[in-house]
Amino acid sequence: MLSELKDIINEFQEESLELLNQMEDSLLAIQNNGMNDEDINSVFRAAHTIKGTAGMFKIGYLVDFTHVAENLLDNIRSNKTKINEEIINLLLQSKDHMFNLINHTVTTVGEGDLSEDLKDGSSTLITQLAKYIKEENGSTVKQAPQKQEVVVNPNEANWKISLFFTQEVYEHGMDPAHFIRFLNKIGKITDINTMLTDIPSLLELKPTSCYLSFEIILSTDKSQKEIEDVFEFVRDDCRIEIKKIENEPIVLSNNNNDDNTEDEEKVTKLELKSRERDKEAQTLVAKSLSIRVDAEKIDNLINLIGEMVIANANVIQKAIDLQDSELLESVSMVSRMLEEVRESAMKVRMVQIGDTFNRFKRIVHDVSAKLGKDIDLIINGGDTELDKTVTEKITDPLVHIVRNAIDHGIEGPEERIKKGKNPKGRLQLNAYHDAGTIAIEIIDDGKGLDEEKIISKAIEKGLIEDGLNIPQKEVFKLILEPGFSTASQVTDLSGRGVGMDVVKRNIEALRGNIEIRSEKNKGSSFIIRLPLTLAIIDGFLVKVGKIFYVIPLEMVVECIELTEEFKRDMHGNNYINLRGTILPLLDVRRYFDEEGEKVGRENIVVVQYAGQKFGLIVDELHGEFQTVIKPLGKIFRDLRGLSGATILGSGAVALILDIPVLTQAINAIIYNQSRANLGGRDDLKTVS
Amino acid sequence: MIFIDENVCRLNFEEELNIYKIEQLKNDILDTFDSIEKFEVDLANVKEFDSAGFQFLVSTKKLAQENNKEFVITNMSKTVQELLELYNVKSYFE
Repeated sequence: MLSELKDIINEFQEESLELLNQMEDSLLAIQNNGMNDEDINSVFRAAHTIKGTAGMFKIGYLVDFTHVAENLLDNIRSNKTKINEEIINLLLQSKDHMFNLINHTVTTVGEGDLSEDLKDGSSTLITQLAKYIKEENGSTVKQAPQKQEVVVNPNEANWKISLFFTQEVYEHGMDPAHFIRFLNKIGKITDINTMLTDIPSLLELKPTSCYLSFEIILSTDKSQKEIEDVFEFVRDDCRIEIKKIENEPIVLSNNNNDDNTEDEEKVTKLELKSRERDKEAQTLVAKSLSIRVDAEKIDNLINLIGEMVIANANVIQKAIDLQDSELLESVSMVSRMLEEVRESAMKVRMVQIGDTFNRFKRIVHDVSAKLGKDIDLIINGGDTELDKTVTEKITDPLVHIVRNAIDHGIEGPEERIKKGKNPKGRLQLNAYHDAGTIAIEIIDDGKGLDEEKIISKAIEKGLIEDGLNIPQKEVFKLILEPGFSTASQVTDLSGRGVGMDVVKRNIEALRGNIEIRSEKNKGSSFIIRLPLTLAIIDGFLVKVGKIFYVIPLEMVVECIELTEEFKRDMHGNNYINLRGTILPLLDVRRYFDEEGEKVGRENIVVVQYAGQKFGLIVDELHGEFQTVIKPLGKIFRDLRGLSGATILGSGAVALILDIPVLTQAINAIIYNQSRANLGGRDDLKTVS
Repeated sequence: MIFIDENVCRLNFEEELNIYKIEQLKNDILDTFDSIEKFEVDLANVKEFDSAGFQFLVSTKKLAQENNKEFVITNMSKTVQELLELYNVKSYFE
């Protein structure tokens, strides 16, 4: 073990982790979509790179183990061994073992000997892997009849070119055939796969639209630039990927033969998926340019920008006071640029939630196998972005909910067939932006939540009284209480009742909330909503009495005056008729128990959250305003309704209203109110 | 170019099976589709054949297959063969 490793041990760990994740993703992709060159090469490359680095630092046990895995992968990608379910599982286990070995390396900084467990693990897996390396698989190879071994001359190389033409390419006067013929002039096309799956049947065919994509293997001694230049005129109408292929026989599975319909679906599914992933018409992909940055540096940067925003508010205030128009103009230009800097900095910390979702593929795979269930995992909106820290903190709650869905929600295949359901269960993960929040949905088509069971359990635990008529939404929320579990059996996965309340707390710590919907035997949906921005907020400033409040701008719908007319029509109730619909009102003064009489005009700020609208009664409206959220101190930890505070340009403190919490409060008030009206109980307080 | 003869749709193309002709062809076929049981496509005379034309053939074959009707190409001109070979899709029509 070299001493150099000590210095870069952290980088080694990070990079290896990434490579291992890549291995896992590609293996699972092969399992779902069938064998294909891209994925198997990806797995091979990952193992190869890890072995190389391990060799460089003379980490013997890691080299030895990875070497065997690499051999098997090499066999698979050159078709000497045919991949199957067992081999995939074995490789996944090997990936896990490599993870353990690497962790050992990191914790012992490469000095320590392997523990007995790890040594055993290595030898067991090596034996199993080796079995497949010696075996020559005798079953018929289900590959395309067209196979060509390409002779590699010193200057000649093989390139894999993928072409995705837009629908408009014909209308722009070009025909893909021209360009492909030209490729034959600068080299030799040894294999070409024309994808016909996007061509609709005649009814839906738009005669002047192009539905073709191609995968081409080209043998040429020309440079990548010269190949790219072939497509110069069609760049705007075609997404092109050019990859150099290292020395190996190239095979494209021919997806037009009816014999190979299964492969056909799998291959084309792959291409369609990658098309969906890249929404913009990219030109050529060589390498992705990225740099690794210390998260702390970004945090510092964002803090600084936050302070600048506050200081800038001060400047704006002074400029307004001085009433110097030229100064004001300069100041607003600076403010605009500051805004852009702020947004760019925030974006740096954004990561796609798809990375987290992809980790679930493995979990679903393993847990379903363990429980003997067949479950399809469908992911939508993987490219939805959110802040890195939020992503990290939301992973555990998501894992928990997903495990519950698989363990308790989705039934086994026999039970599902008895219920007339598809024996394959369906678990859906959706992510999307929705009015300034990001929504993450986990939807299963299992047996749903048992309302009655939950109620009886809650009564048993003294959480609610018997005989109460609780809306379904609230019943389901009961499962988030500590110690609650209606699972009759505790498995090692779930059922102990220590999970869901932790989930709730973690989500609330992120200023998010969770909604549960369910229908018996149809399934359940868990919808988590999280705010998009953690630190800086675009707000709407209002004043109630002597205190300033800020309402997140993205939730503000409109402002209206609370006129005498409205007041009269209210009849002492806490809602108004807004253009035909009932708008519940929350009197901010009352809610926060402020002193002081109402003077002068009152206004209503109409806000919307998670599909619900209500109005906040305030005194003065002060307009749009951007600021940094400062957390309230620990002493205010249990205060409900405020999510933070901020400092205004004038130096005064403004409190930031937590709209999701207020939404809940308003719902509770309405609920109590309706109970009061029905039961004639006037000991309940009303808000007016 | 299209004639229907005892429920067999014969497409005898003269010279051009390209983007300019397809709209008309599509309409002709769809208008009479119900009475067609089989497609026989003779491309011996096709002198102009482009990707749009190729798509059209695939598209028509798909429609035929969806409705359990036969789709057969009886003859191909050199031009047609060249494009189908370039695209490596000859087997699709066999």
